[in-house]
Amino acid sequence: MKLTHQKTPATSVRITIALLICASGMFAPRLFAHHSYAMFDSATQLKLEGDVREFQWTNPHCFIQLLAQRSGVTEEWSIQMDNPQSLYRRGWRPGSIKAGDKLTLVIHPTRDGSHSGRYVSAVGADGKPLLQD
Amino acid sequence: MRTYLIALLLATLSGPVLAQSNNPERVQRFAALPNWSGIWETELSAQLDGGELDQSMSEAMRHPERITAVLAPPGVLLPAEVLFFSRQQLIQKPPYNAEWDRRYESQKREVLATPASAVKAGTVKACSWDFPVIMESPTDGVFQVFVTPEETLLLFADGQARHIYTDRPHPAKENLWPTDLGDSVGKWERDTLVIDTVQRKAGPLVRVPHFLSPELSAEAHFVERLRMVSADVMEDQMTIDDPARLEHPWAVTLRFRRVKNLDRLIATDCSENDRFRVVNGKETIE
Repeated sequence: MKLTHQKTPATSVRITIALLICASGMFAPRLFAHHSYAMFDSATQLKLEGDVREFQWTNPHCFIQLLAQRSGVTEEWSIQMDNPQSLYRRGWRPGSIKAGDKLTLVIHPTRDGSHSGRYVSAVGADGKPLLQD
Repeated sequence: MRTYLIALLLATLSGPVLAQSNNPERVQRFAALPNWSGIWETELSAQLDGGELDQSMSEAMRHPERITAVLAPPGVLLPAEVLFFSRQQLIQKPPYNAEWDRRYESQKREVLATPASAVKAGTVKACSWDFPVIMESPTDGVFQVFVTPEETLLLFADGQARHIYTDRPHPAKENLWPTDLGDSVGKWERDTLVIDTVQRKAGPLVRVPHFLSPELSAEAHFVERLRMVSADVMEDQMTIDDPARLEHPWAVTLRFRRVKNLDRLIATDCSENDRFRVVNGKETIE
């Protein structure tokens, strides 16, 4: 299901490029492994909080399906990560994220305004940051 | 009784054949070959994985005006992507002859003049790389090497395989045709495998629409000298000869690093769960 993407000031955080470069791994370590990442708005960081519906450990990309709470509405977001091999090398495992996990994710949203984006970073319910992808 | 005798006869005959597969002479030849076991990756892939390029890629995003390399129409790739891919030696301008130099410069002007809006959404996409770029694959450039007396096999994570036969010459010309990886045979010079490759399919080295890429003819002839230069580094001295297009042979030296954070070759592919889509002319995830 595709829903209209409406950014609200409370939940979408625009940060300048200068600030973005402070975030490690922001430039998609596996560039063009499959397609150009110009489809993601790398000048924008969006913070999403919610429950994981599914962690797709698949090629050519892994995805976090997040049920994000935004302005009192539950929206499903698809967050693209690298492929299993790349994630495995960085310490990720298929069970690193499970359905029901509460996450705060930072993403670069897709430019088309859909509920999807590129993984930048994540923090678990315990406040600990997850690995970079 | 008759069946038993036939079975006995067959067993007797097959014994020496089976034994031959591991005869002392072959074992000796095997033992004399270098040990290239383990998982390897292209230098660019290793630099990316190790974070060595993070700073320069961040710089590229901060100062896109400083990126002068031309790979695709402006705006089609992120500045960091342009910087990254322009580090590939096999994407540089080859030592073309005058005619192909003119063609290359003309194509470059065309690429620069193409607005990003003219590039059809979804076309800037690749799942695998042909030879020779597969030997410098910047992404998913992970492979395993199997050395046997008869063949050295380079098996890439995306499933592609370079079969380098060391016990035979190329097939006769009438039995060959151009393919993405060409036909390779090799011979050992001490610890160096000298690889001879012919019949690579003519055309750009990077087969992505609108990309500025070197082009070679089907007559291109590749000679590689593959060897280990240290415990964790392998080197491939590649010389490309293509008299129809090059002024002189094109020489590049590629390096591979041993992968230490993988315990096995994990497959990559584009087909399992490809959620990249073009909807209403825009690229998205579905």
